[in-house]
Amino acid sequence: MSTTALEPIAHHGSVVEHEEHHGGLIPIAPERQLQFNRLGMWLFIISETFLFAGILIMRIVLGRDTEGFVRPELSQGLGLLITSILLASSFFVNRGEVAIKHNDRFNFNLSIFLALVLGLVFVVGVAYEWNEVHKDFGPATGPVINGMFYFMTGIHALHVITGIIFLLVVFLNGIRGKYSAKSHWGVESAALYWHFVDVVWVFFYVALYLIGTVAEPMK
Amino acid sequence: MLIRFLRILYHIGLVRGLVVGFIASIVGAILTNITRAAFGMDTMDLLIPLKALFGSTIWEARTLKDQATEIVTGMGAIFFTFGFLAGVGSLTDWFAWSIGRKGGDGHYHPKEGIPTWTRYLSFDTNHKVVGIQYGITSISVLLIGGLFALIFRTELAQPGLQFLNNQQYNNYIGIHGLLMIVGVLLGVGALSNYLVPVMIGAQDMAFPRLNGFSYWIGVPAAIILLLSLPMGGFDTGWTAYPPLSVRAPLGMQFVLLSIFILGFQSIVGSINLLVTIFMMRAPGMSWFRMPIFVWGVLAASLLQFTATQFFGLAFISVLVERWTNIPFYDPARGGNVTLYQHIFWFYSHPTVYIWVLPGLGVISEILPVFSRKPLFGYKAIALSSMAIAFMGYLVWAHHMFTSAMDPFLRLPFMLTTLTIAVPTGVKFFNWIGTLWGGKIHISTPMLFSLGAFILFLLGGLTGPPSGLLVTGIHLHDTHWVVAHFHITVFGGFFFSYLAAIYYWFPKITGRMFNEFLGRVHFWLMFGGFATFALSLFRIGILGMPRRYADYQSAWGFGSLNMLATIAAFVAGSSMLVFVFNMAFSARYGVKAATNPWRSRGLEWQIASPIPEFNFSAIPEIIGHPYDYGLPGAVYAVLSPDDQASPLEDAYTPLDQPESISSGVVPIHVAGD
Amino acid sequence: MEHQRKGKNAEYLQGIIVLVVLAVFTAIEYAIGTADELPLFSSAFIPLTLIALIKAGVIVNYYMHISHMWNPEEEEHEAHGE
Repeated sequence: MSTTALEPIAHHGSVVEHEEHHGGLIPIAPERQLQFNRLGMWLFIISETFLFAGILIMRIVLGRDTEGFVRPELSQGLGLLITSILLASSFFVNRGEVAIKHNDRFNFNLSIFLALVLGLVFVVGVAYEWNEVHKDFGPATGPVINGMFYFMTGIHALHVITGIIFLLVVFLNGIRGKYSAKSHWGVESAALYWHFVDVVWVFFYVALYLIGTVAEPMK
Repeated sequence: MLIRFLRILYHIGLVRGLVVGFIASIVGAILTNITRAAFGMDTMDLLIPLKALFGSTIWEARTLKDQATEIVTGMGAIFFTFGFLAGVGSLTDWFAWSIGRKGGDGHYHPKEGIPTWTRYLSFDTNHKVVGIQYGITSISVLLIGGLFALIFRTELAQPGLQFLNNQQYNNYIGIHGLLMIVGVLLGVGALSNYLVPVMIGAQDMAFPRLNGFSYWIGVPAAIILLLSLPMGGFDTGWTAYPPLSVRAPLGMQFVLLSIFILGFQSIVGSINLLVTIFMMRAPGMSWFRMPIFVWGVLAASLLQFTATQFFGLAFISVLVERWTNIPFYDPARGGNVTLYQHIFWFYSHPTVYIWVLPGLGVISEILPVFSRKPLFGYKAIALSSMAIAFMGYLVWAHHMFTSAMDPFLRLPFMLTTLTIAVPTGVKFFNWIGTLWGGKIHISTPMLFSLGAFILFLLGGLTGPPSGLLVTGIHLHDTHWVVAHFHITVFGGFFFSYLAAIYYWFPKITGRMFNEFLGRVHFWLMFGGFATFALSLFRIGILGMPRRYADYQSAWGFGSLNMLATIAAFVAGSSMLVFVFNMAFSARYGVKAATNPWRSRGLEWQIASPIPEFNFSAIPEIIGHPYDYGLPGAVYAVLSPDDQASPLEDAYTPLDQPESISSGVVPIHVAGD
Repeated sequence: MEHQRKGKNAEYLQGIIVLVVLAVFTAIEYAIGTADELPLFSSAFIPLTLIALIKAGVIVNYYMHISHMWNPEEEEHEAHGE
């Protein structure tokens, strides 16, 4: 009986080699904590997926007329450019994560830096596009799909800016050598978030730029 | 003396949060104003909120100046939230991590000269402290919300307008609805945060800092919500349907912002609970050895962390339309009002299950203890929670039978609505099975559980008439629906919440509540509320629409309305008994036994109040939790340090001797 | 489990391949979205949604490593690789 009771205690308290034992709090092993963090992050991503799915449903319901889907009048070249930039940024974040897993500090820092810069370029691109588009229509002029453009890119850009802050934190900690192959949850979570923002854009790009026909200006 | 007072004040997180939040809101408003001025846009008109404060509430037409004022005050509210969270100290550790520092250890360290009660008013990561914070906030919010209900209920007691005007009436029903929703969500947070880690044999939640954060983000949200009334109110009711909510006064935006911020609490809190339940169960606690309450929380959290996003989306899109004129909900420019209702109800129907599932879990938890019998059909109850959660996603449009929705959709949603009665019925039959032939002890928690049982049954039985198209369309938007909703939430959540508070009170405080006052509370509450709800059903069948401030005496429900009002006052006043009983007993009550109800739950085997980290060694689960009355059944093995020795002269209400042990065998753990 | 361990360069290469695949899909999307007439579909909605789902699946699998959720050991081997 006593052996069966002992096993789980050993399992939970496998890292009790530290002297400080917070009045009975058994420290959680780093591998276990990592699994907690991962599950939490993924649940957060699933939750966010519902938000963006809701926005896409709004776009699908609102962006139709009798003919079928409509889309706002946007510059296709710019859209393709910022989409590529975000994909490339995602690639560099992944490259940075691989690098830190193998303790390749130089490539890690370089990749995160490039991802950060590309993310900033994406935001500047969206801002430029808002500026260009605003010459043709504001959020409240024309059919609702024009407003949807501002809403969708705006909410997505807020997430991108959050991700950039996240990457900046990772970058600054990275050049000070805070991460190692064994312990880099900060990098992993930032990467997860950044890839998620990218996945959202995969759908938003299609929804805003590609499906349907250009909406008639309505006055 | 003054220095000491100021020092204590400084160490109260709430005070710091309010001060920093206030400063941040001013800074935020000024920054927004400057930015807008720099881009040549309209700036805030200080007179508008002032005029709103002094009663001029209706905006004839929203001008650009009104819009600018709204954006500036709204940004002020957002800055307030951030400032509050920073001031309270909930962001300190994360900030330290992000700049590469180590941060605190996340535990409470008493400071010299600072009383320990300040802990409950400050940022704390211990799940029991967070649970108590949630609980006290929830009761306060529910009391404030109930007060608004009594105000407009008094107005409805007689035909004609006595002391409220239409605008005030609309404001009060709206704020009543929202405050109650917030209060109930906080109550769910209280139960799940306090109980889940102890019940599954963990020392704390998976993310303790996130837990503290998720409580404290609710406080600025509640403050912003209450701010909506002095800022002009809102005349849409709690549902905030556009296009009315797009045109509503300034107060509307505070509602939208507050609920959006509150959504963070729901999402973050439920993710934390899910990770805790998935990852931190004690060894040996398989899914089907989990306490049934944890199943309820699991099902509710699965709904909560997904569906809440839709609530946020619905409200934020209205806010965006108010701020930028994007015509989401303006049919003249291609908008679609029905879309809002779909998005809104996709959350707001499941939210009922988010409240009710933990509540039903509490009933399932209490019934076997007071009938001294195993829980009948444990697996069926556990899985029915999951079934309800799943079905909860598929019924939302039954709120929209009379809306502009495609009539074709009515039939499938009627069918799913009726189907959801099946898993709910499973619970009822299993509860009857648990009570059947049991050795029933009537004590306050049991009384409240039985009351919840009866009320929820009535709520369930009045569901099909509301959900069936033939009757539902007639009953739609009448007081029948109001009564159905209230009786369901009272049965499904509120009575179970009170039962839970009474039941776990000895564990939380180490003292016993006053049984007599508890029973007085029950009978006043039950009698008052049942009379109230039944009169409202009748009023609804007679055809009185909801949300109307006035009715004609010739319609013949004047006396019923008077009865409902009196009953509402009886039920409301019983809450005073409750608050007195709780506050008084927590300090002066009789010392309670460690396990006064002779429960088999893990939380009852350890000392009361529960030690800081619950268990000194993680317990091992070797049996089923609800084997009451089965000789020799063992649920868990605890370390002898945790196994509390029963106090000799402590008060136990269930004092008949019984042959069954509490089901826990203390054994010595090697190495101790 | 030596044979399962992936070297650093192999992982870098995988990242590049995934990027190329995503770029190709994006080019196809662009072609479909801007074309006047579609050979197979009457509306661009279905093929574009399908491609977007594939792209999202590729990112979730190869960049976000969703399999680490239920298979944490895999990563431990990688971590000790260098």
